[in-house]
Amino acid sequence: MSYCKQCHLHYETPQTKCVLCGQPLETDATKPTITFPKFTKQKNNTKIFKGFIYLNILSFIVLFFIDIQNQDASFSLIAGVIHLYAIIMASFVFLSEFWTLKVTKIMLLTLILLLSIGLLIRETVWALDYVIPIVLGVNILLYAIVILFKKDRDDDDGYHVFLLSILGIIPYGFYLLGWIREPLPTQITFLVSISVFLGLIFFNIRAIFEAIKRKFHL
Amino acid sequence: MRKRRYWFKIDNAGKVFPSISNQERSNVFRLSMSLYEEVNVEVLEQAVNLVIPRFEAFAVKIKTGIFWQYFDSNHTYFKVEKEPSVITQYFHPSKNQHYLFKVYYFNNRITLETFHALTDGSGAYQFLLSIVYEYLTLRGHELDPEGMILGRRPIQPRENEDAFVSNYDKKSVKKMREEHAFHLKNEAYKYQFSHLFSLKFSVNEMKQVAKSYDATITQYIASVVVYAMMQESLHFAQQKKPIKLFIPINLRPYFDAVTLRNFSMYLKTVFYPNQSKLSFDDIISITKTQFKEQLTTEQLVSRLSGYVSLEKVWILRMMPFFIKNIAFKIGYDMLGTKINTASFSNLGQAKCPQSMLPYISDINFIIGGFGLGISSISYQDTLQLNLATRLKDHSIMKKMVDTFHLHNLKMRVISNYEEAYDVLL
Repeated sequence: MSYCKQCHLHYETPQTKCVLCGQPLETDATKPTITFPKFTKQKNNTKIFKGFIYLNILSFIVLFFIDIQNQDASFSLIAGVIHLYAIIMASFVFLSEFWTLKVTKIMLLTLILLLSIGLLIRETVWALDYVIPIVLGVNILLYAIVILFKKDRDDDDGYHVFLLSILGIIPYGFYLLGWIREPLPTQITFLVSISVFLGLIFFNIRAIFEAIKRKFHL
Repeated sequence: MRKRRYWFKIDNAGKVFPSISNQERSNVFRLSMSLYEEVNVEVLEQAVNLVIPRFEAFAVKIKTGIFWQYFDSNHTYFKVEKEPSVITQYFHPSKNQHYLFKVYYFNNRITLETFHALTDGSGAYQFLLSIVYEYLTLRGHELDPEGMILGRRPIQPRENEDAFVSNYDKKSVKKMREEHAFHLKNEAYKYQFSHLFSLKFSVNEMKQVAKSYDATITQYIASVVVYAMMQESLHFAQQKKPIKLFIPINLRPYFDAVTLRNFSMYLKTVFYPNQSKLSFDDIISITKTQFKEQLTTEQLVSRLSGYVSLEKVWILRMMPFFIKNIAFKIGYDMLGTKINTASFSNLGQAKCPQSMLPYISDINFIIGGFGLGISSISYQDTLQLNLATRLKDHSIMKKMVDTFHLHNLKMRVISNYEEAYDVLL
């Protein structure tokens, strides 16, 4: 044990100087009884993430100024949407959650990106007829297959697929309203969605009901 | 009976923590037990995984609902880790098998670090005690639980109750308005390093000194802290904000609760700049009066109901969680961080079965805090007072040590800071 003559303190940890006054400690032969792990610097991913956000904003500003000089902001608008997509995507990737939820979020985000680009370049057919149904259909089908075979299935997986399958039925509404010119992807997605929806109700309704109770704090 | 599937609303005290916690404000506290033997990692991991299913309040992961976050059952295998060099540091549950606590080992020490959204010191102590009991049993020691090991008793539904809501009384709601408090300001260590400076006393000696002031140990230590802050904070007298020391009180004995979840509430000692010339005797006298005023069941019910009433405001209830989350972050930055100077949490005498005493050398309890986190716990005849800070200035600690010396208290010191740590400066 070591001792500080100035502060009259006995140290049980292996200091050589007093923490309070900085004076060298008197030490005897006995070993310190308590130790702590040596300090080591830890990796800091926040800086990388902040740097990534900064570069995206910088890139958008540069493109926007170039566009202003050309008196047409359409390109920088598309670039802005892509930059925003990149930032949100990075946050999904870095801030890890349950992986199935993460993949769904990424796919829905991608859907919004493609839809925004479609609307910005006035390609509504591409956005409504292809992007929405295909992305939703693929996501629902993949998620349903995953939870069917996943061993460590999360209890909320069924609830998420249930919500997705409701979302997948919406494009069919667009079709009924006559907004869609190329109906095949929408029809396929509708079939996938309704099959998954009914399947979940038939086999898993209790779990979904419980999940809804939890989500709404009922 | 153990349930496979369960979920809990986050209790009133814990609701805000998931939103406001980050590397700067971890809201993590530490309990540790040191053994007379080196910890065997495999056996410890086995013990933790045996104990977790019994403690439903701990076997949870946090999930986001439409209006609030909630705890959902978690049956993932738990992995223990080697103790890191930074105490009470923030951890993301997704990197911890979604659990909201960590179990560390280092030499002969078993440490439990718990996120405050989950429980308070008393709940966490029960959990750690059961882990260590199971660990020692697996190591071949013959122990008797003596009715004190929760892990060896059947689950009671009341262990998981939100005792804040159970004891809410609509008629006694007290409106709470907190004025801003004086803050300790100084340069901080880099890399979120928290300097732990612990003082070890004899419980009996400390009791005698406190008794000489007709005070409890908590009141005595709280007064020493306030006195040191007043003496060492040069700019305190020149400004308007008071020193406010928050002292969490375990509400279980007052409301006959056995919950393992959060059930503590702050009482506070407040000293204004015009009181900066008070002597120690005056400070302890005022502290005792402030304790007496606030520590009545009526006062506690009234304040408890005040907190619960906040979550019952319909506009807040109907607000989707993602908006609440932003509101909590902004609200806490604007108000939450400014209402206290420091916190002092005394867990009291750590009780454990007689048969475990020959195997446990030391029990400790540490709370973090940007300014100064003060905590204490007693085990056998040793009271350990922990001062954890991220600030480089040690003058308040020095003044406290001088005051204890003045009161003829003998003490030993533990510190996790070493001279070679220039990288932190």
